[in-house]
Amino acid sequence: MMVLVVTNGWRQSTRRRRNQIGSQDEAGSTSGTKCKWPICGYGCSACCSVISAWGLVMLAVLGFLFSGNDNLVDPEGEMNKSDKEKTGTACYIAAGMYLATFIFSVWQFKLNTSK
Amino acid sequence: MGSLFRSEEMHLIEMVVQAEAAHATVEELGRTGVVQFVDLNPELNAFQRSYVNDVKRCDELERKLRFFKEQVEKAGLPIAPKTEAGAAATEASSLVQGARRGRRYGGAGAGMAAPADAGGANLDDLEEHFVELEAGLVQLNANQEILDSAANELTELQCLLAQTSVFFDDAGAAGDVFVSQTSALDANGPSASSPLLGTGGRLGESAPGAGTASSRAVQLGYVSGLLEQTKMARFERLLWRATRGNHILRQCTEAVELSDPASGEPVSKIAFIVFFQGARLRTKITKMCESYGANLYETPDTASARQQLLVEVEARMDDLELTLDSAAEQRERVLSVIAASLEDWLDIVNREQRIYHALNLWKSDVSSRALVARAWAPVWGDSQIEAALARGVARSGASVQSFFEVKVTSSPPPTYFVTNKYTAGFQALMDAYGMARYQEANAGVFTIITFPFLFAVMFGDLGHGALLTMFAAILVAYEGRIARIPGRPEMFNMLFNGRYLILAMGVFAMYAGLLYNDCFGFSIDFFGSNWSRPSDGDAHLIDPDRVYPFGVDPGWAGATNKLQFYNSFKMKTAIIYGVTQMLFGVVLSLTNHLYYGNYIDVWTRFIPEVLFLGGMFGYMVILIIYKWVTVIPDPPLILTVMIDMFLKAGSVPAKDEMYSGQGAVQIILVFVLLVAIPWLLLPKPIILWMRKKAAARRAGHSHGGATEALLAPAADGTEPEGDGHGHDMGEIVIHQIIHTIEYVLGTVSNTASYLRLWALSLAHAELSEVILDQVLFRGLKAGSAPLIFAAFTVWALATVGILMIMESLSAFLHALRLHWVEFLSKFGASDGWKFEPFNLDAPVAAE
Repeated sequence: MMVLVVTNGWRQSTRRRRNQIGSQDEAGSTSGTKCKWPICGYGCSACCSVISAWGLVMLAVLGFLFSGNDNLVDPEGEMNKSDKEKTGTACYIAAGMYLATFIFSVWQFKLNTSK
Repeated sequence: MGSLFRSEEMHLIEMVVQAEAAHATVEELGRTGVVQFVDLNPELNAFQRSYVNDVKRCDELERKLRFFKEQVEKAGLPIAPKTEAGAAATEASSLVQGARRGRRYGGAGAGMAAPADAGGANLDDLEEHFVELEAGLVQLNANQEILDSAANELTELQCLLAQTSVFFDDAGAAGDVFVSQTSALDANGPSASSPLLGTGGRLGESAPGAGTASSRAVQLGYVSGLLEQTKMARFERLLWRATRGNHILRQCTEAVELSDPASGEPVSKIAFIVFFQGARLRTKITKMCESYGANLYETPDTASARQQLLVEVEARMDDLELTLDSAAEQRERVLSVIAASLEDWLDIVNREQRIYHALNLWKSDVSSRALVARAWAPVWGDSQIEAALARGVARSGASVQSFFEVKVTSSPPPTYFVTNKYTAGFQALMDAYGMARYQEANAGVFTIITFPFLFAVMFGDLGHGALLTMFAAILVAYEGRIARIPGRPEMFNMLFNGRYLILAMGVFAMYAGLLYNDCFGFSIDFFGSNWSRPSDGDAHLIDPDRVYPFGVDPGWAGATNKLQFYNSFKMKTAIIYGVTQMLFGVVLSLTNHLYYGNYIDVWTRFIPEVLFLGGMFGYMVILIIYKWVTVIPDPPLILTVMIDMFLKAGSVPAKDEMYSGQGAVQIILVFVLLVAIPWLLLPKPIILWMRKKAAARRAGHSHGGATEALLAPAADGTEPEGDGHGHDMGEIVIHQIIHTIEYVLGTVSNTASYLRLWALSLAHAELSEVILDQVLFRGLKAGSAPLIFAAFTVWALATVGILMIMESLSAFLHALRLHWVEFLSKFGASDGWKFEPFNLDAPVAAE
């Protein structure tokens, strides 16, 4: 029992001293004001938001083209009309999924940047 | 200021500066950044130069600053960025100091003593300040170390006391076992009933030989201390060997975390206590502990004594902590003062260092109490230099005005292109291959358009171009903010420096993508395709008179012969671009010949070169375009037309017939080509040889027996390039033969080299189509949203990784090669040297 008390007392005092010498960050990190939900890091969240934005726009356009039965997306003429409409709807849903990942990764990015 | 086409007109100037004004003058010149000093003491090594002591002093100051920086970084304090105000303040103070110095020198009349002035005085103050700071810091560090090790010792003792109490308690509880064991081993041991360590034997007293009669307990000695955790196992083994097992080692299960006072590294230590018997064992074990670096402490064996010591230690520790805190505070205060102006100091010291390095290039003329410097400078910089010299004299308070004069020299001047942030990237690209000769036609100007263009021919895709443009646009838009980020990675820095180049490349790639009608592998129908493809039959033209207004008709997308069409189209355009660029290069060589006044080269080099290139591949380009714009029933292959033109000269086989009169045109062309080769090879050496003979005859008449050496300068007047005019005739002939062979073979091989435009362009288009079909469309055709979601991510990553990064890099390298070799070799000598002005405001290059 004595051991614990003594050593803990010493450790606290050393830490206190180090914090005074050290930068503000260290003190901040111990009190837990940083990122609350750090699921992905700075680079990862930035990369994900870019890809999600790209996917959102591109799949929305593709969905529009498929639903409109456009020649552009099927120059060989392999798909019939109902297939294309089905694909168009699926594209819209996938675009919605990218909207969700976009919001998520932008939120993560904000968490990572605002310290 | 001149244009970017020819480098700035340069001249060599010689400056004469009074010794006292030298430092201020160099500083002023360094601020204008228009001169490059020439080393006037090439025979001296670095240690023999006049300002070697000042350079050393600067090095020493820099070392001190590095020490400060290290300390500040260790303490985790933020270093203040360089302030503009700081530089201005030092300037102002140096001005004041300089004036003071000047007066002092003037009054004493000791103008020659040492050319110290403003900067020198400023440096003196700094040096004094630094010495004080360093001494203080070293003192503080030493104190800190002493205090830290004292604190560590106290902590260790505290832990030991706390933990050994457990051992002693254990020993008390299991006393019977110990005693019986030890007594069995010990021949003259006392009775078994006596408790272990019954009497208070302090560490020193418990020597076994002196077994006091009053005590009936076993006189066991013990040593206690702390040892690093990693060494514990080895220590234990050695202990066993040394005592042959006659000991009891107790160690704590929990390690204590401490930090090493000297290095600051964290160490984990374990408290231990060894019980043994005998004086010899004591010395042995103590020595072992020492060699293992264990810290030994005396611990009393009674609980009350231990408790007392513990209280004492805690009291001392509290005192020590107060001292430590105040010491740390003081240290932090000192360091934060240093951190506030560290960057400014570094800047000042660096500037001084560079000034003294520049001064070391000057020649001191002791007799006239003046320093002489030579420097290359652009002609337009004269007024700036004059003003800088005047400011230098005014600042140092020297009595004699400095002056400069233009020197005539035979050595080639440096090449100096004044670029802005847009052109700098392109110019750097061409300079990397070889610096243009002084005032030679600069390939960098044309690169600004042709480089992104050739890149785009290979990278043509609307979508990929747009991504590239967006990336570069972000770099350009935030260039101010990015430039301020310190410690950018090398790779990113390269991209950042070439941001305008990338922007141009991206925009051009978008344009080429529109022409190819390619966007991520899709074809976009902007204006309505001219082809109709019913599902049950062959495709047919809707309106034979209508032409798709811009770029390639989207009807080609999905056609079975799409690849055949693009193949022929891209190969032919590659040849057209290549021949055009090479012909343009040859025309640039004409501007060089005219500019340097080499009229002989116009007749003996430029004209046969144009005839050869134009006669062979120029004709081919005309045939290509002719075949595109006219309707020929059963059109011939252009390649066979070209081959038959040489093999069956004079007659045109029926299958090669493209237009009437083809035979006559082709026989003339073959004749021209055959004439162009000897024309390129022979006349120049013959003309030079005849001129030389005539000159020798004239010289012989006037002087009667003139030597060859006398002729050379006279001839050089008319032939500035005339390498070898006064030299051996054989050299000229060999030079001409090499040039001729190089040009004739190069015409064919360089044209073939431009076919890489075709190959890379096709590869890029095919690759993007394959990735689109195999990845994204697989997901799309399945028609389920999660699959599409996954397929898009894979497709996006493949697009960025393979098409954007790898392909753009390869297209970049091929475009670079086409400019360096195929284009530049037509006109550039590339044997100049770069003008690197002495500029104090430019960022410091690593020395």
